[in-house]
Amino acid sequence: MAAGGRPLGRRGKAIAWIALVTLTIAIGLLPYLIHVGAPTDGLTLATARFIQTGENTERVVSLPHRWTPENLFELTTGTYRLAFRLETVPDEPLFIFIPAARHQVETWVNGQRADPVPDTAWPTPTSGYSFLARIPRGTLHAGDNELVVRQTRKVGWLPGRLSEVSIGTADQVMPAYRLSDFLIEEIRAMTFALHIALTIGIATIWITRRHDAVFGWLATLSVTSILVVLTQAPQHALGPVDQFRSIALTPAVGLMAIGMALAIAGLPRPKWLVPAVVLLPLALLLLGQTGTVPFAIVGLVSACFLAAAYFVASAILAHRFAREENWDAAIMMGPCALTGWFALHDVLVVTGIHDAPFLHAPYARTLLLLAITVVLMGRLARSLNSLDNANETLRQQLAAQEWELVLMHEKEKIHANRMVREEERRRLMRDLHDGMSGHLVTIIALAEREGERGKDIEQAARAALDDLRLVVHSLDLGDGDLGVALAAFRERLEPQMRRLGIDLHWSTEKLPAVTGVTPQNALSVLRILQEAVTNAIRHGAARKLSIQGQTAPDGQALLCVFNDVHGTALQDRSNIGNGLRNMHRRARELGGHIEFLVTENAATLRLSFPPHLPGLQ
Amino acid sequence: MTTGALRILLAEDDDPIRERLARIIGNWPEAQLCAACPNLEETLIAIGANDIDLLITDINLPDGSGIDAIRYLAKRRPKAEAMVISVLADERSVLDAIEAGASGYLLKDADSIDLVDAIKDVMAGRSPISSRIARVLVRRLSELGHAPEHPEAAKPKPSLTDREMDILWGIAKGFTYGELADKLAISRQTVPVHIRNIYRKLQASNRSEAVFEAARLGLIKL
Repeated sequence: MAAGGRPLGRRGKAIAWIALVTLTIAIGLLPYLIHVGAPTDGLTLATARFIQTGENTERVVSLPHRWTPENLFELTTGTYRLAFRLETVPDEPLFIFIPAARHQVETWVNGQRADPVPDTAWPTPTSGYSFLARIPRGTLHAGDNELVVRQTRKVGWLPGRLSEVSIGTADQVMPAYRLSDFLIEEIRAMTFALHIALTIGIATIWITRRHDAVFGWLATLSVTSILVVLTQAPQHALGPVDQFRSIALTPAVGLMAIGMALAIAGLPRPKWLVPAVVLLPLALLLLGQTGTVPFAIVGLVSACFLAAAYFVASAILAHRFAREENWDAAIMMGPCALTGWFALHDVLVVTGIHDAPFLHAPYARTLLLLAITVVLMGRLARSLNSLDNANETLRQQLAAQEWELVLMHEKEKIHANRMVREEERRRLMRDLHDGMSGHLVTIIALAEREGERGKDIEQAARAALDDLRLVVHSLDLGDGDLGVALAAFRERLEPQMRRLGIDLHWSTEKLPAVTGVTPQNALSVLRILQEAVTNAIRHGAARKLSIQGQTAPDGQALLCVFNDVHGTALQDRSNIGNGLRNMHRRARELGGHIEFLVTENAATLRLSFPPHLPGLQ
Repeated sequence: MTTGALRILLAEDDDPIRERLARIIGNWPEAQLCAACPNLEETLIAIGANDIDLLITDINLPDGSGIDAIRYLAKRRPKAEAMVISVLADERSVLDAIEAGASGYLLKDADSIDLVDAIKDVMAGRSPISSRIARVLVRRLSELGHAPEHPEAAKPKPSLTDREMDILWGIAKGFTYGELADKLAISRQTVPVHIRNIYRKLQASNRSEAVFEAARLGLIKL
């Protein structure tokens, strides 16, 4: 959808079409609905005696009356004589008001010329205007009076025409005159001002957006139509013939309208279009200039071409709206169709085929300019919206990238910390491996040489080495690595138990997943197990040792150390007491507790702790 | 493996420990200690001079790394096995040795029974693996091909079978061989055989990495 927004459904599309067509028809009918007629409370003259230059006898005609000279180009005059009767002559001034006049109109009352309201630049004799003149004081008298209206054709072809004539006071005629003044003069003045302002605006945009074909066509269309308007003004220095010559520009305006429609529709421009914009007016001018075709025909052809071109442009835009819901096309479609219709209407009026008080073409420009303004504002609004969206997207992307950067930084920090810890661990491992642990193994080796004499030293060295391994292996434990720590403990325990002839049964499969594992709390668990195993061997003379991981009904993690007890081994309880105190303390650090049950033949230690271990204290 | 006595070469720089290990091997009737070397140089000479079946070497030797001795053995005596001895059996040094061609590891303070059992297992095609080593291996395998920015990702990934991956995962989680065997419905003795296969694949991938690195440096024309 070219103009943005949500696509219309089938029903929405039908409603849009009905609205657009209805609006276009309504605007097209406006000239027939707005009637500038004679005031109802004044004196209205509806019959006259009419004579045209070259005729010998006057004839009675009804008003409105249209007259056409034999020669279309004949610059001629038609004279109307209107008789009216006044019972009394009012004190206040009276006015002659002709709602729809055409060509140059002069009036005389009882032989004295009435003073017309001064002309402004906007009413053109060819397109129709309202005439107002003040009847000089003292001209009228009670009884029969005569009004003479002389209509002089200065520009050819357009038939002469006179509507009903009103005579009344200012209060009677001014309301109708003001309406006509607004419709004819003020609207045209506003249109011209809008045209100039819009042309400057569009040309400025086009200069800075040369790649945008829509603005290119709008700019050339506006500039050319201003030229046509200026050359068609009756006050312009150009004579009537030159005005006909300038009308040869109108086919170029029509072609530009097609170009504009194609650009709005986003369709490619035919190669012939730009050359035709230049060559067609030139060809028409050449035909007229050489006398091959009279300029009147050139003008007629130009106007017909203009009408046809605007119909084509309207069709292109309508097609585009139907296909792609291009709202710019929809907005321009109606004014283009109305321009074509008004041009056709005016051709019919000018050629005398159709009678109408005013020409409509000047109002088509108003519609087109308004439509262009709406399109431009729409494009501006869409550009601003898309700018806002782009800004928002960029802001979001920036925020996402900043967040990503923060995460990467955090990851990098974690990685760096890990590397530092790893390096530290390696150094510690190296030192322990090459230093202390190596020395302990050497002590074991030396003690073994001594046989029974070195047995205690060997055992002490082995215990120290086991504890060292416990510490070293707990150094790099991560979260969830309790299973690994327990496995490492088991791997050390298995050969010891084998050497001592103790049957070890180990299973931690049923232990729940434990989180929050740190080297400290893993070490606490392992030391409790180590203490329990030591007690089982030293004080229980165990032959069977079982270490089982379980999940308690309340979800707590349970590690049970069970061993059998033989003889009087448990009699020395002082060391067990010390060991138990240590185990209790470590269990509390884990947020758990231990239970130690001793029977005559067995001992069981139960360590329970939460599946999520507390952080370091 | 030969049918006669197992010919063992020992490399350990600490005299009391070397003597202890030599004594244990010497007391084992099924083995024959070819040499007990205190440094890398003597170890390399001994590998060249003796037709050995097993090299037991410390990693940190005074004049070099025991890993170089393992690599040299793999080149000179492809059928021979190698084991590293370590105090802590830390996963990094053990894995380095395994990638160089070692089939197992021993703790320096292991008593004679454990030591002999470990040697017997390795010579029978079974390799040990600790939970910590398995965890490092799992982590390394998951990093290969998953994190392009990780230096490990540049290494070729060993193609482990599903069963081998299951075993590796199980051991990394702390399961015993017995528990794993029950879970996977295999014999307990089969678990270390799978581990040996994992080691072989690690060595192969490590060799391809070495070849790739050599090619990159222009030492080998591929």
